[in-house]
Amino acid sequence: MGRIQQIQSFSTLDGPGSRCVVFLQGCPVGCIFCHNPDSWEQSKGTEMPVDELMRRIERFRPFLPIPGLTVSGGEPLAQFEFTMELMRQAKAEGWHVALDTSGWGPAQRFKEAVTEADLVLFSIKHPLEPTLVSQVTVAGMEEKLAVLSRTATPVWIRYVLIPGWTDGPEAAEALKKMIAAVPSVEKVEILPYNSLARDKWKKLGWDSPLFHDDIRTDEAKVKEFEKMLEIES
Amino acid sequence: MDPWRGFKGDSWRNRVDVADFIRDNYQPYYGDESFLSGPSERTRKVWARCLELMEEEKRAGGVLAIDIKRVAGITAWKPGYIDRENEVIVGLQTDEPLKRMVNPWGGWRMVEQACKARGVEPDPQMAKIFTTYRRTQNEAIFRIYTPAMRQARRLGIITGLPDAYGRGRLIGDYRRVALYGTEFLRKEKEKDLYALDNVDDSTIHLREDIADQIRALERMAELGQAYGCDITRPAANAREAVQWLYMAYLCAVKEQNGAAMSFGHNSPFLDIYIQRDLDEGTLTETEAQELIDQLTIKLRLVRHLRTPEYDELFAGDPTWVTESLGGMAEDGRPLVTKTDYRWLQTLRNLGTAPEPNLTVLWSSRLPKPFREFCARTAIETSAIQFENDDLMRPIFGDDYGISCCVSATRIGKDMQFFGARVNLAKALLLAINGGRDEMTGEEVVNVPELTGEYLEWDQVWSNYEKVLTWLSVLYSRTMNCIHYMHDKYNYERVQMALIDSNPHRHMAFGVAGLSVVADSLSAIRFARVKAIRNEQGIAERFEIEGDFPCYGNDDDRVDGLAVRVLRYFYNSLSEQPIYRNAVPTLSVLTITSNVVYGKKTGATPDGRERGKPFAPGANPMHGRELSGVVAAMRSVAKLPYEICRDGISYTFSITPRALGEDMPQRIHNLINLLNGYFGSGGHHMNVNVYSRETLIDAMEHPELYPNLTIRVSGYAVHFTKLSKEQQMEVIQRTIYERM
Repeated sequence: MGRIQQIQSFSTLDGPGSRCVVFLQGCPVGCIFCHNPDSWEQSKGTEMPVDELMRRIERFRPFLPIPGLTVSGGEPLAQFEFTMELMRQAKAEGWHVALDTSGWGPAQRFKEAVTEADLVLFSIKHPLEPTLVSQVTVAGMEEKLAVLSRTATPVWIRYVLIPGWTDGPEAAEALKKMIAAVPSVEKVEILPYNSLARDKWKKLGWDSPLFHDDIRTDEAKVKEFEKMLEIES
Repeated sequence: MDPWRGFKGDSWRNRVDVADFIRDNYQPYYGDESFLSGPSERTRKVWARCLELMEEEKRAGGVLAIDIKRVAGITAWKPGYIDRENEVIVGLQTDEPLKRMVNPWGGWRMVEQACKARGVEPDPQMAKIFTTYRRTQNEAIFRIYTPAMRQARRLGIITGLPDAYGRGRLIGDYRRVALYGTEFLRKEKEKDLYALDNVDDSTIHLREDIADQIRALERMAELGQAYGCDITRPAANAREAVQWLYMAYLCAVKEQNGAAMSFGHNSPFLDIYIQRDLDEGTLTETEAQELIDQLTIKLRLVRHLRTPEYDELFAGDPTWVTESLGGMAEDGRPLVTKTDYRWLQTLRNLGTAPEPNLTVLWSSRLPKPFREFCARTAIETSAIQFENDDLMRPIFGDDYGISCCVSATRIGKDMQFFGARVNLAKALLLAINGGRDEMTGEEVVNVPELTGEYLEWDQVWSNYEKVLTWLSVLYSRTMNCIHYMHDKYNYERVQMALIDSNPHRHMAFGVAGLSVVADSLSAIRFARVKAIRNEQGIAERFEIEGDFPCYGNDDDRVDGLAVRVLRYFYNSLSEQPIYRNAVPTLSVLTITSNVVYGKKTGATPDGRERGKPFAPGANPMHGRELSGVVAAMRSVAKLPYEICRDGISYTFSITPRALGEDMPQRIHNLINLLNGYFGSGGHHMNVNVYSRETLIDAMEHPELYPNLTIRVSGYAVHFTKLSKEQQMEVIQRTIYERM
């Protein structure tokens, strides 16, 4: 049994092509820029066995000529067994499976999951001080990057650009080096931070340090940062 | 010159059979849009003048001029022009562009209201004629309405009925005039008339109809003559074919102000003439495009005089000049021709606009370049709609067109009695409130009072069945009254002259508020709903305890409830006697009236507040479709077309980025969504690609968005022509995006 927060039946933003996304409930990573804070609490969501989840997503297949599934969250690795089983079954049914993760948990499990997935969407919170914006530690992050650099699974790096927090030149330099160390990186996505999730946070009675300033990331800033990384969007 | 030179086949020559002519002569086109041409110099000039006039019309508050001296009719006006030397296709409804006709046949009261709303006093002599000597459709219907019919209408349980405006919906086979000329058609009708010699009611009725049609054909020829077109004979080239076709349609809109005056499915037909001229070297591609552009200009100028009440129901001054494109022939060839591309090109050559209401009959077997061109055009303009040809063709054959918004009609073979819709949500509240209207407390229908604080599923459903049965009887009887009188006092002799003499008749019933009802029933069944009743015992609001599945998330528990309601209601309707033995059909469609219907409906058990809008057509309620667009489409696709043959309207809105990263991706993804939706049995889809910010900005700065066109349920409108309320409702709709 897994805990599902939501099934998104059509997305063009979570991996290649159009695909469906399963958001698993529960996330210990606590990013201050999270756009899905109601997925944090582990006890919420709907309980569902893998079979049932597969039945639901199979119904979307006629809309997806190359059936793609992204397992996201929450943090999928927080429900490790379920995530593994889901990925195995989906792959057996012919789905292209992407794992959207921050790499939470022990390195061995991460390695198993990465090996099982067709693609890993790996989010780097901050290359130097991830604890500024999340619960991810430098050691944890480096350990996971090492795993990625030793496996053949293609990787997309995702990085949320927050002016004043994650956009400094030192960060860019460090990020660039990190990415260069993982040969299987296919793509780097710099995602502009926006405050659209503020209402969700407020509803939960939570606050984020990001809400105290009017922070917005425009296209130009993203372009500028990409330039520093020497990547093209 | 022989007008039929070079045409193949024989069976269409001696009897009216346009479909057969098309089969024998059209050439499918498998290529892409690269052959298309921009607007001609003449088109530019004519259109520039029209834009000025439309600007004046807007400044004048929506109506430029009304001719109060004449009664609408085929030959009531001398010829009118926009820019005579540059007009390739001629003919206006009145003697000046955008001048509106007074059409009193439907009802004098409406003429008065419409004129007064525009600060114009109607002509006293005409008033006298139509109130003293001549009975109108509206007057006749209201004389025979029962108190129950009046009450259901007044309370908004049965709404939008064509008892105070023309029923429209009929598509004359305007191609017949181009292919055969009116004289041949007149002789064929005479044969039909003399072949009927019974003296029973229905035969005499039909004989009178045909006699009227013959008279119409004679008048049509007179109008042609006034414009210098001898439409008594067949068209001899492409320009004449377009002109004859339009002249026939023009006669229809000179005499009738029906809500929807649709145009048909004309591309393969016109393409035969255009291709012949291209082959003979008498026409260039620019001139071919000019014909379609100038025809489109004329169709964009069609206007009717409406009352403010009508405008509230059908916002933005729509005329539903629906033109169907694409589709597959029954022999497996695509019905796609170069002229289908030329129609879509008008949106570029003249700019985006709601009319004509371009409708693509979609099949997964359409040629790839055409599918891509349609998808691109939809993404760029938000002005076209798609309907499932693979679903309709087995039922209607391959020579059908879409009437009004979503309703398939065999061209020249079918006619329909349009019947607007009932408010299913109000019906549910009647079931909950012991048969009393929730807004006024009036007794409407006799059903048991519910007992207990909480709504019990068994009790509610049992009452709902009783209400729906009662409603189907009342609704069908009301429709019988309306259409008997419409036939008698406001008969569409022009369209009917271009339809077979004894056509197949549909009675087009409809429902609104389906998603509200499905979610309400789901809440009652799967959560606990407490009714908070006032001292009269009417539930004023509802408290919901627990979760329940909402329609639009591909959850069979609630989607099945929507299907169950439709089946129950349709089956009850099917048991009722129907005027002229028409076959009942059902639509799930609202136009923009979901706002008005919502206004007239109290709080519902799904948590919707009193007076709040419904979702349009068959759409899930705003903000409740939490599983993304594919899940929503799957829910809508479960609604059974076999009983909803009048159409199931689904409006889909998405931001450009959510649809794909760049244009090729967006085209690719939209095609996949269309294939997936239609492959799952979906019927109709409006496609809107815009961001909420654009709409909000357009609300604040309408002057910057004169052409912003959006698809609402079954048609397109200029966004800036909607009322503030309707604009707000559109903005609140689910627009798929991601943070």
